[in-house]
Amino acid sequence: MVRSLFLFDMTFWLYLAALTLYIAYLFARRPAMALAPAGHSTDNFDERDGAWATQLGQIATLITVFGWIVNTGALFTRAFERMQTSGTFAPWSNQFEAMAYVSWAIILGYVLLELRYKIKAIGAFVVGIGFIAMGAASLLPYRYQTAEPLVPALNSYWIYIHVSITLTSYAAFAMAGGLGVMYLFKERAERRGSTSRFYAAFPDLETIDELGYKAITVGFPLLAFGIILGAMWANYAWGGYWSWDPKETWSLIVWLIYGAYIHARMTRGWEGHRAAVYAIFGFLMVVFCFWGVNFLLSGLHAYA
Amino acid sequence: MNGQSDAIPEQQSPRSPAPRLGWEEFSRELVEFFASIKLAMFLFLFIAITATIGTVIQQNERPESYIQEYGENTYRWFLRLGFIDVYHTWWFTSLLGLLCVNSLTCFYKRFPGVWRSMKQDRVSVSLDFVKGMKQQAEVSIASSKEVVSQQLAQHFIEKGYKVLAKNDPGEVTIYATKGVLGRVGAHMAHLSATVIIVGGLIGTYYGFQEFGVCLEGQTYHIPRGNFDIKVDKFWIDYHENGSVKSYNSTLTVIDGGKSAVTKTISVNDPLVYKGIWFYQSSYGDSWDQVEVARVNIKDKATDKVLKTVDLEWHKEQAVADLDLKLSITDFVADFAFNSTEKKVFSKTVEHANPAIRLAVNERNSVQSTPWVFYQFPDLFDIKESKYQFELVAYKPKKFTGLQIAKNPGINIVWTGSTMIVVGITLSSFIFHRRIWMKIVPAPEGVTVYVGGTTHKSQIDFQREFRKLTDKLRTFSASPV
Amino acid sequence: MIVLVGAAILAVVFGIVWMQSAQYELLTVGKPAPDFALTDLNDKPQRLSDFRGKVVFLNFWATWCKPCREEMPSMEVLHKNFEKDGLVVLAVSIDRVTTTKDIPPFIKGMNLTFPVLIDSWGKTDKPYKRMGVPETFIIDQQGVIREIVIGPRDWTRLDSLQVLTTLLNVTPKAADAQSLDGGARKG
Repeated sequence: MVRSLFLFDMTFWLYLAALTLYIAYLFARRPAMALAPAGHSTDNFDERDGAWATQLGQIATLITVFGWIVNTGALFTRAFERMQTSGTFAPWSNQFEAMAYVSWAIILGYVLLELRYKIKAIGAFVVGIGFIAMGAASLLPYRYQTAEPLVPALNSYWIYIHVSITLTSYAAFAMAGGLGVMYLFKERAERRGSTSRFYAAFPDLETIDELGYKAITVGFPLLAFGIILGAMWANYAWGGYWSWDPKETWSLIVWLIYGAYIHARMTRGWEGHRAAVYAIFGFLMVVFCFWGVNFLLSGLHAYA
Repeated sequence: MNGQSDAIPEQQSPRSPAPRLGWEEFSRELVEFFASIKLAMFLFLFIAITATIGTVIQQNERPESYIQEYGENTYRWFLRLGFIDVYHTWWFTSLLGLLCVNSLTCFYKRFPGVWRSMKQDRVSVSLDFVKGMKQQAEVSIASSKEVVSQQLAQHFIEKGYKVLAKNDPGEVTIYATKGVLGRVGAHMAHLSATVIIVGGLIGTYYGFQEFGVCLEGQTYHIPRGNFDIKVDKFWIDYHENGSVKSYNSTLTVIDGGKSAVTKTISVNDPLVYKGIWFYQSSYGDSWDQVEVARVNIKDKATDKVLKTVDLEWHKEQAVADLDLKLSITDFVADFAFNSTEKKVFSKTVEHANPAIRLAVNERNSVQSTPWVFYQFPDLFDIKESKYQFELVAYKPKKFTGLQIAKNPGINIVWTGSTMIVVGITLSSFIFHRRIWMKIVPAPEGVTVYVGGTTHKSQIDFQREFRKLTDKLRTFSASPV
Repeated sequence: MIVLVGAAILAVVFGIVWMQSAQYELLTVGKPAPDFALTDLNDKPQRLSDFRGKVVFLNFWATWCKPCREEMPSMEVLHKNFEKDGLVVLAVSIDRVTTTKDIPPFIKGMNLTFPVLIDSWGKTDKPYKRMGVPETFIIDQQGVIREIVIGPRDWTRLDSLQVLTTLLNVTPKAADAQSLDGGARKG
């Protein structure tokens, strides 16, 4: 257990370093250079960002990747440690591990996003959320961080699919939340007529908005699948696929909230600002579903 | 921007003759309302909010606990509004029902259009149409229209598009489309919502769920299945650190007098027989049986413990040197006495006031059956006996908690669930794209007018469109 | 060049975590007890190291913990009998800010006189690897942990006091260890 805690700690610091670098990138970017149109792949970063910013951006990406690799290693090590003491080895078996896994998924999602769209400005916001997730995990009391054996109800292969898929959907919603925050920042800057180099580094509002929407369209089916897998597991373990316990109900509530979001996007006036606020609100609901239910509400499902 | 970018208008089918005009308009408005997105959004959010109530207010508790926490007045309001059992109130079920109506109406209204556009692809479009698209471009190529058409068609076929071409005198129109399956996804998801809710209702009305407290060695009759279940064995496995690893029961189904199936069940691994499921749900300490009890035999005269014996349930043990025979005949976890029926019973299942009943046979002359209390060792005294008996410790018999359930609607629910996941996934990851190209002869070759639209995912389509126009420019020997 | 900077940052992070890595090691008998600084019921700050030279009975408890409540009277007996021999009974409450107000009435209600410290921020959580309450650490005069007890104990029973009495260099008399509730315990 010592080894995995060591690696998780390293992950925390690396994500912090990456976040700092991405923020520095935003400050270093030259405003005079024409912003690359959304989706327009460019190889000449020097021309787009300026020498300092390019280098900062590249180091930031490198450190993010390092952090993700260490995060992967930490999860693997924890899985190995669990295997030695109990029947299952899913490295997302308690609150701490679940948070670390969500961070891992957020960062993975970000790296893929950056590889595809090459917009490093997003790093500050999405890696930011990933870092906050990892930070919250390390603030958990010791007893949530250990690799204690699982109670019989959790001792099943279902933990591999139900929990991981649901947590991945949380990561997608977290990314959308981060993008929503980014949208509001940029929107406010535009309204004030800001010409600071900081905001010039952001992509245009339409792009931020659509990327946030994309993240939610990834999270939504994953959450649906996760809830259904949970129902199947409940059917095998507790003799009923739906018992309206707080965790089940709240995950359904979150799903309904994002379902409303997806339908709203088809209505005029719900893109842009409203969508960004909604994405942040949805993410807060996810946080409550993830943390709040375990610690504030009691019930059959309170596994922290 | 997203969604309503259908370039092809829907065809209105002719309705019934004039006299029923009022009804026709009304029914159209009704369908419009029930199929509307606004209704869907409202329902989603309203159901979400009301579902929150059930997580904040404990469900299905005894009235006393509500009164204690919220006061009598608030409790009465809870009763009136149905907050005690929110998810089974008529209004919550109606909301779910309304959601079904909403999704079915939407399917009824929109799916025929999608189905039609899947079947008919409109190749003939005007040049203005192409020029008016959100993504459009104009490329001049120094080549012939036959070669260019061929290259374009090839390009799209390679990318998995369905390509249709129309040769007109003077121009060639090419239509490429891909991903129409994504449009089907949403409709599949809408249908599935109803399937799931129907399956759920069937399960609630025609299924059952019961909990059984069962002891090792006993056989229990299951009336709904017309067979018996025998608990052969129950045991608990522990981890190295002492916490519980698993608890297991070996069950045998006895059908028509014969043993049909034997299976060891544990949590997450139930037994199914004739559609009835047996789950290892919990376990606990029995309140009317012990496995072993440790009894101190004290000499009344000296108040010293002469001997300590471990007695097994209902097994007589002889203590030779003291000329004593002891056995445990009864046990209660929480001693209580019913004075009207003159019977001892266990008030609760908690081991709050445990007591065993000892059958004492001393020197074959003194026979008595006192109750010996764990917490009150000096309570009863057998007058003619030389000894005082104390209950020092005991190992309670464990019962296995079995959940017995049957759910006839469950396969419908799983079908609906698969449909909804597949539907949403299709809708999220496959986008219906359509691109029209008009190849028109020009002074130095041809001019290609390209226009495209996508149902969703604009920036990805923009990238793809840009790549297409870039590729187009490479078709000619001398790029413009 | 980028790779070099990246590798440098990686090395620095590794170094930072390495230097703190001792904190992950499980706390066992023979290791020094981690020091801490907390305030008592009179808002006076106290450190564990202030008690160097005495045997410290460090007990973690909470007002909402039932076994702690059952254990405390026997701790009071220990305090009364062995304070003169150099024993300090230090009870650290891990109540969060929402329940710290229950501490003074709790202490008063049970007539406890040993020092009580309040750790509402959970500062001792990670150093002592706390898994629950109650937990007791018996620390010798040099600040080294000599016994770890997870869960409650009847501290008036002679067999519980073996390590303590050895450290204090006393022989407990049968009269010291008084049974408190008169009933036999479940075996």
